[in-house]
Amino acid sequence: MKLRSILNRGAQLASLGILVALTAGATDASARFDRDSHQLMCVCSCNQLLGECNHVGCPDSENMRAQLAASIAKGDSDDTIFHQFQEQYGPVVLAAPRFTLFNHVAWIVPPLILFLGIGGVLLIVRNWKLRTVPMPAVPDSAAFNSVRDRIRRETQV
Amino acid sequence: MPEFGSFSLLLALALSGYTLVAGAVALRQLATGSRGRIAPDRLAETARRAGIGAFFAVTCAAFALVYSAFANDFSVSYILHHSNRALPGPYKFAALWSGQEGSLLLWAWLLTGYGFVLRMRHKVDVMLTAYASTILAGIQIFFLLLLNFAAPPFSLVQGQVPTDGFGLNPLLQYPEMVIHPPMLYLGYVGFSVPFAFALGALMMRYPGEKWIHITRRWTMVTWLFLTCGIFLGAHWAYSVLGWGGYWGWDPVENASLMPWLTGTAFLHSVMMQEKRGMMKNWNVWLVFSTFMLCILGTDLTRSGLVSSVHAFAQSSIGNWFTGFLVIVLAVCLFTFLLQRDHLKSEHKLESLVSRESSFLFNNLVLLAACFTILWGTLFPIISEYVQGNRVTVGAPFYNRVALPIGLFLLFLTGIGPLLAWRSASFKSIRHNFVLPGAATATTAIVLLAVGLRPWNDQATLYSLVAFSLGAGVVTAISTEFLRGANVIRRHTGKGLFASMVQLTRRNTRRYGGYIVHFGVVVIFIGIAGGAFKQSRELEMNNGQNMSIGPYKIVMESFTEDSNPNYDTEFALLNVFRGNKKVTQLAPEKRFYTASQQPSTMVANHSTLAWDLYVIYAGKNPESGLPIIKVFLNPLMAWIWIGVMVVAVGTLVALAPNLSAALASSRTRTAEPERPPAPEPQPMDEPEVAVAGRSRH
Repeated sequence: MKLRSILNRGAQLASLGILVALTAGATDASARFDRDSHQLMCVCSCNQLLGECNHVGCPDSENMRAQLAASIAKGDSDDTIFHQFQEQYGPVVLAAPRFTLFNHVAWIVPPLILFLGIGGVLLIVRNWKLRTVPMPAVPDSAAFNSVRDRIRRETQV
Repeated sequence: MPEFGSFSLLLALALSGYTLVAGAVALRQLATGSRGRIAPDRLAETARRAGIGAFFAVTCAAFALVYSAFANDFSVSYILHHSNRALPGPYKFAALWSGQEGSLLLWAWLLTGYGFVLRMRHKVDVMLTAYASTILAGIQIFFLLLLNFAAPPFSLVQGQVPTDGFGLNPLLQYPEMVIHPPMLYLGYVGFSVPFAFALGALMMRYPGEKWIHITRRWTMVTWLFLTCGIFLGAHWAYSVLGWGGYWGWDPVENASLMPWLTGTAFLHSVMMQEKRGMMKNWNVWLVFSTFMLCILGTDLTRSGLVSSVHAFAQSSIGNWFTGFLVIVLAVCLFTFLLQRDHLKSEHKLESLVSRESSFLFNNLVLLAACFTILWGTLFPIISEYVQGNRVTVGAPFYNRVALPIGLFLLFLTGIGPLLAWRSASFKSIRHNFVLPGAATATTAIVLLAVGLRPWNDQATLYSLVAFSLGAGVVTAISTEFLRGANVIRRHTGKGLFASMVQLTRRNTRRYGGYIVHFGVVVIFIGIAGGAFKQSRELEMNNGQNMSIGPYKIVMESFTEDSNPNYDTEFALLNVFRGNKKVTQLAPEKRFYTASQQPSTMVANHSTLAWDLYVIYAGKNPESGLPIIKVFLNPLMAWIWIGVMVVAVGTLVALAPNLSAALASSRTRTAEPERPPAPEPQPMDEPEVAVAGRSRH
């Protein structure tokens, strides 16, 4: 009973920790610029993130960065900024799929497959265990006990 | 020379065709007991020799192409487009794989090369090798058909031949490009051999698990080549592309990672088949999938279905690969359905907490990672089909979805080897996990205490988890080594290090595997360091300086130069730490004359703690001053060191196991009254019960 209560309390604290870790974030403008510029692609067909496009004389990245900085300075939310960029440059400007229902499928399917896989493995193990005939226990002889004790003693770190 | 090359390719195709047909007829006759005019074993021998001949024919073709590059024979279209007179010798050699046709020729050469080794070593198992040789010949025919008809490397230029070539892509003019593609192809192509053995073993209903023993070394060597190839590519991207990173989740990169993941899964799950006769279906399909993913990756990137920064990717040969993939899948499915009763497991899993189930979870996570990458690579195509518009699936997607899977894998890397085969009791778990668990918790607490704030951003959270789990895994591995070495030390009186060496030599596969796991942890630590990356960009005049981390960078001068191959602009930067000059860096921007393309030459000062990575980003056209971009990349060197550790561990695992030799020499020389040292295992009763049996 006591153990269960400790486990419950531990789980609650862990959940809280995860929640704080996932929701709290830096909000200053330079950190936001850095984060958002890594959520957008440069459209000069270099296939690089806007924050990492390093072409000398790139026709797009400087303007796009300036546009992003201006939107952040104006106080636009991330969603508003990404919507504006999508309307202007098309959906390929977003470095990861978002906004539409189907795009959410991109995010859901991999973890879903992993969890289904874990469930499947647990099911398989359970079925195998049910079908397994238990092996007879090793006789508890003095010779066996002495070998076991020696191995335990010698492999102690 | 072009005619000689073309003829060689045609001859190789004919010889491979003969190997396939004669080999198949001979195997059919041997299987059914029928006889033709020639005895089946003699027919099979002619097929084997034709397969060996195909290697020499493709070697001649590869030589012809390299010779044409060195002879500046611009009448060959491929040489015209991928070389020029001023190109340095090593890059003329690298021109062999710098374009579509050349890289396919390299593929065919390596494939016939692997076939050559396999056919020369046929006495390992004549019948199984004959099956594998025939299947390899089928794969050879596909690539030789491509080279003869779809992408011929010896096509001649129409009309007047230019006096100089268009040059090699500047991004490929880097020392690592001379070694990265062959390494990667050795990995890709090498998976054909385990595939051929697995399919052959299934076709002939090979009794027992010997085919697993034969293919294990092939798979490990191939896996090592692919690992080195992938990381050499990452290092090339880091050193040449000049964006401060090393992995961009580009489809071509993803294509190399997918077979690596399934290959890794196979190397783990195959142990269950060897030890317990389990997971036979699974293993066969892992080998099939690994080979098919090699082909699928090539198909995706060369067909133009997905956009990639890799210039060679776009071509018209995608349909050929799609067709080949369909044929391979059909053959695999048909053979599997026909012979599946041969793949029944000999044992069942007895406990969820056991080495077997840890392998199951390891496989599951590796395949989930593979699926995630495949899904991310294909999603733009699916989106275009469903929504009518293409979307980008880039780094933010993979970082959010694939990284947690990677961390889960790191966790399993630590716990798997500590679990006993068949079943682990609560007592043994407590015994084996207390130290690694304590190391994980202590590391997390220390990192939080020194100022790591995981709630600031996701990258910091992941890095905290990676560092903590890494500490746990290293402790688990060290405990295993210490436990075993202590036993040997007590029995032989040797020092601890000598005992560790002897322990490793007694079971190279097991302890080589632990070294590989240690290397993986080092790589993860290097990757986790990326969360603390800093960067600065400044337009600098002579004498001006900028600071980043502990370094101060002072511009000494900037200038221009030129040679027959390229013009260059570069800056000389003195790097100080405190008042002490640490080094001088010279980042460059080159402009290649023949190809009329620019290229960045990064200057990097690498230490164990961080890389000072400096880029000459060009000149401001208004002020005429160079723009210098600097990255401070923490723990970057750990990634490359980790790869070297993985390579060393794999080589150790490949080395012959000396336990049998040692045991026999001990019976001759050691004191008779001293009992032999027991092989250390994770502590558990069932382990003790089978302590005398062989282990992995």
